Amino acid sequence: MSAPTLDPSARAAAPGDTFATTAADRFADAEASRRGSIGPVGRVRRLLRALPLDAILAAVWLLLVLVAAVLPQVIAAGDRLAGIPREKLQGPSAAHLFGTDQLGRDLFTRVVHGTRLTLRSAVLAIGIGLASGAVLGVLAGYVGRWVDDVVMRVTDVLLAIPSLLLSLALITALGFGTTNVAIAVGLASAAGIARVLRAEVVKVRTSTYVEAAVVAGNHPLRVLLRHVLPNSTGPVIALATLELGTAVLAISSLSFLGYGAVPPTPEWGSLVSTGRDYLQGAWWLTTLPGLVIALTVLAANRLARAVDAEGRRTR
Amino acid sequence: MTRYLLRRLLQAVGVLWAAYTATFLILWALPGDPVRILAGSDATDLSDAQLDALRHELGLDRPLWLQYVDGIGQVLRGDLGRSIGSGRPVADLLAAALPSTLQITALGIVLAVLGGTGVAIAATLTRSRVLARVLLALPPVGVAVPGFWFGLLLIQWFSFQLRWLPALGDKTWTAAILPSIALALPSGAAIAQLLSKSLATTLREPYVDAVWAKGAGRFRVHFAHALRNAALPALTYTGVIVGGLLSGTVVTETVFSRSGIGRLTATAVTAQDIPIVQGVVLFAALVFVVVSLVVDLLYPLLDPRIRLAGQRSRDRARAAAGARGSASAPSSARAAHSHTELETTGVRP
Repeated sequence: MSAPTLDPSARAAAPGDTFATTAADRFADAEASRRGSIGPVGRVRRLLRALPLDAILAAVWLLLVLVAAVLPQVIAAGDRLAGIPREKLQGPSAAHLFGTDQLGRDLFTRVVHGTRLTLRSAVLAIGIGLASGAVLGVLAGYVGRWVDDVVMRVTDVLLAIPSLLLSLALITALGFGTTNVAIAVGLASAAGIARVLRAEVVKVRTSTYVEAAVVAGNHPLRVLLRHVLPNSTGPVIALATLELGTAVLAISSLSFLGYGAVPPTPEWGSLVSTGRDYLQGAWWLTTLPGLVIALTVLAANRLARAVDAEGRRTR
Repeated sequence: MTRYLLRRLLQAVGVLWAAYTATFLILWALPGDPVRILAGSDATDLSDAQLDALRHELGLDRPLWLQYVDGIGQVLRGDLGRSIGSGRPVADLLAAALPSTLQITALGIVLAVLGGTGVAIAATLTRSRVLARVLLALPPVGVAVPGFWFGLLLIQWFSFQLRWLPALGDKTWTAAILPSIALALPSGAAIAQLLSKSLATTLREPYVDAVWAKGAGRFRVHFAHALRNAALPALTYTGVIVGGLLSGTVVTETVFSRSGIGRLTATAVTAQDIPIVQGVVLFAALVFVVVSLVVDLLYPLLDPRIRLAGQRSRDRARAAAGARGSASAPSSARAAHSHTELETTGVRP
């Protein structure tokens, strides 16, 4: 994997724009959602109506990926491990949508069943990255002063090391396997997430309604939990979606290199890696699983941009 | 100026020291037992006494802080330790692998910059809305494509089907072309995204209106006025982009079977050869620090409105910019602002 892929425009644009909304707007919005006039369902419906067509297509694709991860047999009923030797290395056809591999196994079934492992690692990585990044970012942004300085210098250093190399160092120490790969990818993304969250918390902390809450004599912890955090979560959703793309890319790259899933268990990156030995004769073994990875990352990035833009418009 | 340079140099050394500390903590101090990792699959066959002997031989039976201080002393003398697998000095291994990597990263940077700026400029310059939309749709695809997959596709098309270029190896000059393209794609896409965004903002500046009103043509507005200002924010990402290229070689060199630093890293991780991994991470941090330093020092030359911190002339420069005509004043503030803002968001394209 080359540059750990984030959509730079999505992040670079994050700070600044929300200055346009006033404290009163946010307060009203928070009030409205608390009273239940627009619940989570209403929000999703509103979001769907506002999203452009390509973003909705992206959401549909990600939903399909999710179904493939949770209930793979619904999409591909066949056996992911048993092959029919007579039908080995056949090109894509109606019977075998993605063709068959060197052992006559149906590639489509293997890609669908491989989704679970890839997505599980990606979700684990995002969870770890968000949790550790959030702790650092909120500490830095809310406590400020020397804590802020220390956290920022630490992230400076971590950002000076390309995240793929950072994950490789972590894998060397932790050992191989899909869980370790997920932990490594998650920890390597923490510094960047901490930066974004810090910027957001600083912005909210300095707003008038937070000042009002402090002046009213609330405990700092209460101000943090009741006022600062709920109002800083908007960009986190967009960020998590963005990280999904990054994590899928990083995880499939690391399993392509051979540090993740062990064959014959199907996983997106290792499927491409196995197909590499048959590059000259059987193009579908590398091209089609890779296409699925690319589409998933593209969809996650597209949806992240749409959610980010929508969040900024309504806030 | 000298004081500023000294402070920046000190900062750079500080980042390197911290990067060493971070890798030391990750690789040597994590709960796992380095000796068992180093011994690999043989570890189960070895007796405790043998493991202890190995530990002693590698100096791992000393207290952690002593290993750390010793390690720093070695690094200062240019000694990155020895490979566990081959016993050769890590610095030699890196030096031997560097030329092959340099070949594709240098070509990769050129391709990424040319391609990225080309797409960004063409997208804002064109009068055709359809073409602009198509061009602007390219960079998001570029950053989403897995590097290993794109490399394999290139081999399929240009080596196996068209038979234009060699697929593997690093013996001939032509063998560097495909890996460079594979390496350049995500970086080029990131540059295109950054630049097209900043071009769009720049073109909305009042001074651009003034240039239009003066009667300047499309090309003059874009190339002589807008591009120079728009390129500056993108420039702050040079360190990140070069770092991305360097880490991209791990996958690219594996795909194209080139024996460069990336391949060295991949095999070292597979063999869990800790000193090599540590050396590579340190090398990457060094590259990032040096590139960032150079960009920071060049920045005021490219943008005379920005003076290096610590110089008293800052206010005078701002006054001068204002006197020269209000046209450049607002973008000066923006450029300085976005410079710091981009840094604080920690974007990694």
